[in-house]
Amino acid sequence: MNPDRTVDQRIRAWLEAEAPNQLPDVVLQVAFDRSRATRQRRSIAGWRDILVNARLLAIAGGAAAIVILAAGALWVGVFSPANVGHPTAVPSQTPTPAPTHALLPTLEPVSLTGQMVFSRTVDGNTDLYLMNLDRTGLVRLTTDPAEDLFSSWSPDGATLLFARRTSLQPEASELFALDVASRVERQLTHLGGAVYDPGFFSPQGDRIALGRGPKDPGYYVMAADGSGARLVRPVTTDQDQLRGWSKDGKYLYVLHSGVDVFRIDVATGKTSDVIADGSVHRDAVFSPDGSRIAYLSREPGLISVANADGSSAQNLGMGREARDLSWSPDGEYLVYQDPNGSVYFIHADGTGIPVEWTPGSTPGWRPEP
Amino acid sequence: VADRDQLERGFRRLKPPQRAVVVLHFYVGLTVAEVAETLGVPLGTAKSRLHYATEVLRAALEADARTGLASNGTTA
Repeated sequence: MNPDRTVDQRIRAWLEAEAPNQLPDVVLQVAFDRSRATRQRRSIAGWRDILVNARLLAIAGGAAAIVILAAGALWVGVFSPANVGHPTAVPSQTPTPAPTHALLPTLEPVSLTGQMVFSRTVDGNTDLYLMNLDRTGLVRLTTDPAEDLFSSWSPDGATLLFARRTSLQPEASELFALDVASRVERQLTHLGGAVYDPGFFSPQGDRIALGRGPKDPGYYVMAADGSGARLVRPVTTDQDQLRGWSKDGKYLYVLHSGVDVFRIDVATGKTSDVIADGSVHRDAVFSPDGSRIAYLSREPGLISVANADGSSAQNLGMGREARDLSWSPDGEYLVYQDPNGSVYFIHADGTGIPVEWTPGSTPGWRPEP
Repeated sequence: VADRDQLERGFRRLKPPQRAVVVLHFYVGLTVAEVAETLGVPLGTAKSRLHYATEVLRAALEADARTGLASNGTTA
C-alpha cells in the first residue's frame, strides 16, 4: 500500500488492473454499453441504433409538421394549441408542473383505456404521476422532495406501493403505500432506510413482500398494512433481486445475478430452481397469470418472452437497453423505460411496434378497480 | 496492485448499481453528471451512490491498514 496516494487514485489503479468490463456482472455490462452510447451521442458521426434513428426521424417529422400546421393556422388566423395535436391535460387535483420533456407533440395517439402510474423528475424532484393511457388526465400523486419510485399496485388498483428515498448519505429508502382515491400516504417500513428491493403486493392483496438490509438482510413478508413482518429467507449475496409472487401467493420469485430464477416457499423458506439454463434473464418478470416470463436477454439486449420455465423463448427484437420491465394486468402488453427516459409499451406477442407513451420511469399499468 | 484484496472485498460489498457508478466514474472516466445520464438516474442519486461506494472502499482500505498496524504492534 502506498499511503501517499488518495483513495481515488488507488481505486483507479485497481480498476485499470482488473479490467472490470470482464467481470460477470450484468449491471456493469449494461453500464458499459450505456457509457458507450453516452460517449457516442456526443460525437457528430456517433453510433445510432435503429430505434434511435427512427425516433430522430419521428421527432424531425413531427417538428416539421408542427411548423407547417402552425404557419398555416397563423395564415388563416385560426391558430389554437388544439390544432397542433397536444395531448389534452385534465385539471389535476393538485398543481401539476408542466412536463419538461419536449417530445410530447410527436407521440402517436393511443386509444387504449386504463391508467398508468410512473415517476417523473420535474425541477429536480422525482414524484409519482398517474395518467390515462390516452395521455389525458395527468395527476401528480406525490409532492415530497425525496425521490419516489413506483413499486407495485394492489390487485384492485386502489393502492400502490412506492419507495421513497429518505436519505442520500448513504443511499436509503423506505416503503410507502398510497391510497389513490384519498391521496393518503402511509409509511409501511421504519427501517432506517433499509429497503433495497421493491415491495410487491401478493396477488391476493393481503400481503407484501420486500427485501431489506443491511441489518438482518433478507426477504420479508408482512401484512398489507405493514404489520407482522416475518423473515422468509435471509439474503447472503447482493446478486439477488426479488421479482414478485407466484399467482397462488405461495412463492416468491428471485433473480440471481441477472441469470437464473429461483423461487422461495413463503411458508418454509425453502428454495427451488425455476429457470437455471445459464442464460441472462435481466429484469425477469412473470405475467399476471404466471404462464410467461418477460426479460432482457444479453445479446443483443432486447426484450424476450418465454414460457414460465424459460422454454420457447421469443426475442421481440425491440426494447434495446430497456429497464423497469412489467406487464399490463391482462398480459397483453409489456411496459418499459427506454434509456432516453421515456415509457414505452408493446404487444407481448411481438406484433406491432413500440409506442412511446410519455417521459418517465418505473411505469406500472393500473389494474382495473 | 497492492490494494487488490482490500478493494475487491469492498467492491463485493457494493450492490450492482453502486458498482456501476464506481466503474463508470473511476474507470471509464465519466463525470458524475455523465454517469447519471448514462444510468438514467437523477444526479443526486449518482452522487450518493458514488459517495457511499467510495466510503465503503475507503473503509475496506482503512480496515486493512488498521489490521496491519495491529499486527505490527503485536510483533514489535
